[in-house]
Amino acid sequence: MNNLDILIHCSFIPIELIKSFGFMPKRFVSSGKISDESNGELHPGICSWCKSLIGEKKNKDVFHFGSCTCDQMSRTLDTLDVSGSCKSFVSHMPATRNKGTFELFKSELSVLTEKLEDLSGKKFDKNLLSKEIEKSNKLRKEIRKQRPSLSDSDFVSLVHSVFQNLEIPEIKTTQRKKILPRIAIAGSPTAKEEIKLLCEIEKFPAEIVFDATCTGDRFLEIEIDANIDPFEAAASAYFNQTPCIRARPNDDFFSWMNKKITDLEIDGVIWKTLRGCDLWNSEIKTAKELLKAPVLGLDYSYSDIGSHRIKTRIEAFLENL
Amino acid sequence: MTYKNYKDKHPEKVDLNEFNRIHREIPDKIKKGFTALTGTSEEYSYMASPACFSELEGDTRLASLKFDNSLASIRLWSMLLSEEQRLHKSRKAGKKIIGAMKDLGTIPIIAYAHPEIISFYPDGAWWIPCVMEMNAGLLKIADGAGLGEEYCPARVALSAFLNRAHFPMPELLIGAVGSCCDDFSTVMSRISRTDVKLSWWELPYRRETNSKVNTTELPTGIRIENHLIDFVEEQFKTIIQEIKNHLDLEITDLMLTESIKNANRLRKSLANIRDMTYGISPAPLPSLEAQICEMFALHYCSDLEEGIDVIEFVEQMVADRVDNNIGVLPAENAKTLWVNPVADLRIMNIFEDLGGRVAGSEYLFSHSLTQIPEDTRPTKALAMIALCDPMIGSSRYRAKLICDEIEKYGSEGVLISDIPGASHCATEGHVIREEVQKRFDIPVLNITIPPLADSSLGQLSTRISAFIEIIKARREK
Repeated sequence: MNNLDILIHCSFIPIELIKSFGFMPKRFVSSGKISDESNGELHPGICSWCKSLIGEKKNKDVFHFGSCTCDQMSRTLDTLDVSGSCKSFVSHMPATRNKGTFELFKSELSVLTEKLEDLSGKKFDKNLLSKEIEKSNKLRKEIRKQRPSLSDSDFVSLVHSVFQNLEIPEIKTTQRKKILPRIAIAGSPTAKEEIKLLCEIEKFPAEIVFDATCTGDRFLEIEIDANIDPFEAAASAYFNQTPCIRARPNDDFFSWMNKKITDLEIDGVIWKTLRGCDLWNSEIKTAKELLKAPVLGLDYSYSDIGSHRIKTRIEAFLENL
Repeated sequence: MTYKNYKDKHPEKVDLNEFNRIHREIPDKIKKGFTALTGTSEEYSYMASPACFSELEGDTRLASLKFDNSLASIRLWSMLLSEEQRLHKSRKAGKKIIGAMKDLGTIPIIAYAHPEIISFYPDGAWWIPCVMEMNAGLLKIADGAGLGEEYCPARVALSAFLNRAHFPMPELLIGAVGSCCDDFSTVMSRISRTDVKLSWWELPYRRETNSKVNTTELPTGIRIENHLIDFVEEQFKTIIQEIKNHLDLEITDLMLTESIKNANRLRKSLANIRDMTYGISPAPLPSLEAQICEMFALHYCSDLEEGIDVIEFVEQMVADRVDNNIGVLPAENAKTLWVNPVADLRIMNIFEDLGGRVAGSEYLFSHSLTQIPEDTRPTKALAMIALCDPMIGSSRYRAKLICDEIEKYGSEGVLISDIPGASHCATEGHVIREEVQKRFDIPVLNITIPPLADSSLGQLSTRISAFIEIIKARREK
């Protein structure tokens, strides 16, 4: 086991590849405790998620793997790098999807692999990658099986726990109540403290049956083909995963949401965006136009997660449904 | 400078009334001799009428600006302010219009390779709220479309597509995504939902390396992995194919090679203007006109031949002033490197009135001022130059470019003018300051300049004055 702490910052970075070098990478999850965990080091216009990265992770022994999927995040890593607080490596994760960008994605994973060889002092081993893929597939399959019986707050807690520990945790299922309205969540990734907001929604009562954030069901949908070359399989699975909102065009994302709205009989969508999160916030209007269910656009910072303003708006939305 | 018996007045900055008076004095024969869309049915003497300098066009901000009083400057401003009109005339003349977005300087080189294509940047709409002093209502339209003031003023590009009251709608939009600021990526995404055809291309993140294996040195002196260059070259080939499919116009390698030569000709002229304006005292050209010249590198102000002519004319005028050791600003003004373009042009005037002068710049598009290699395949050369974009990699690279400029022009301070709402400004100012102060013992001022800065002029003037005072006080040590 390699002792270097690794944090990853994007759903498009294959965890299995990093683990195959003996690292135990964690996916960064913001604590969500306060709006500005950077203590003023970052500009007020930056989202709370990025600010919390500055606040929490000033540990020189942590190595960060980021991508340019979110410009704010890659620039936040840049700030950390320049200040000498940590080292980071940024890969390009394409915003467009075609044969050419898939080849670029694979080239970027090859460079990432070389970086991992440098950091670990080990050579890339396909067999080890295959083993990690097998473990990941098993983990996702297990959670997928349990997903229908999990409330969203429990499910997101579980995803956070997987991101942090990367081991199969003991899944405690709660019998999800079959109640109306049925809600989908979309938007910025969910921080630990934001789980309280999910619990509040569930108390109203409402049933959150689908979570389209990076910390939700998108994570579960990756399935890596265990029968072909593992590097090729990982590249293909990650590249072709459910698209991110920053994809251009992002019609596939909205089509995926609409399919879920139909399949899961969803009554309404809560589109939660962190203040300063341009990528999600700017698409609320498009979501209202394209999605087949009513959309509530909520924007907040971590300091007002429990505010009456937010609760009132959610309550009014659910009542209307 | 004397041109066809017209002799420039002694260099100075003048207000709009005086500027118009000088315009009237210039013989008609000279004014009518400067034409755009030359050789087409819509050939047009863009300088013949002073209409573009009047409030009739709605550009009320001009009344608050000061202008260089030379013939070359009047020609430069006439070209700039007639751009919308010229674009509409281009359409009438049967030209195809391509709107390039984000890449700032490369796609137009591909587009102008074909004589039937005109290319421009809708991104440039971000100056409209300033120039028209908000009368166009574009920021309000953007607010209504869900892009409020938390976004960069470039959000008004979306407004211009929604109200269609400015530039003509292009036949084809070509937008760069991938390594792109979140603000403009979202603006483009929203524009893609209008009925204008938009083709995306992927601009990858530039990761610099010290390795010499499978890497190439870019024209700005940094090394990157070859696969990034190969990829962007393929992207450009795809764009050329898209142009063929959509506009039925074929662009060959030979045409691209010629287009690169044209771009390099303009860039060489701009390099000379920059060297004289930023490096010589007294400054022979005001910073506002110098910034406008740099902007011509993006898309020739929508007319290839005339755009180059206008800049070469300015170059001659500046060289003439240098030869005669005359300038427009006092020699003791504080030599300052300016980072980021300002949305409110008036600030450049005020900065000089307070005792500053621009000595070096990084207006987000320094790659469009860099000479393009002519000893390799044209598509590869363009890929290499696109990958020099200061906004697609680490802020450290941008800081390096700034440090190179400081060294070259002997800048005594750095002024970073943040663009409100622009996410890159929220982080890189700090990085630039750190990197600059590691190498140079000079002050760095970081200020935010709104699209129309009238209400902030008091505090901005105080801060700029203090900055200039510090620079001047340090000279005495």
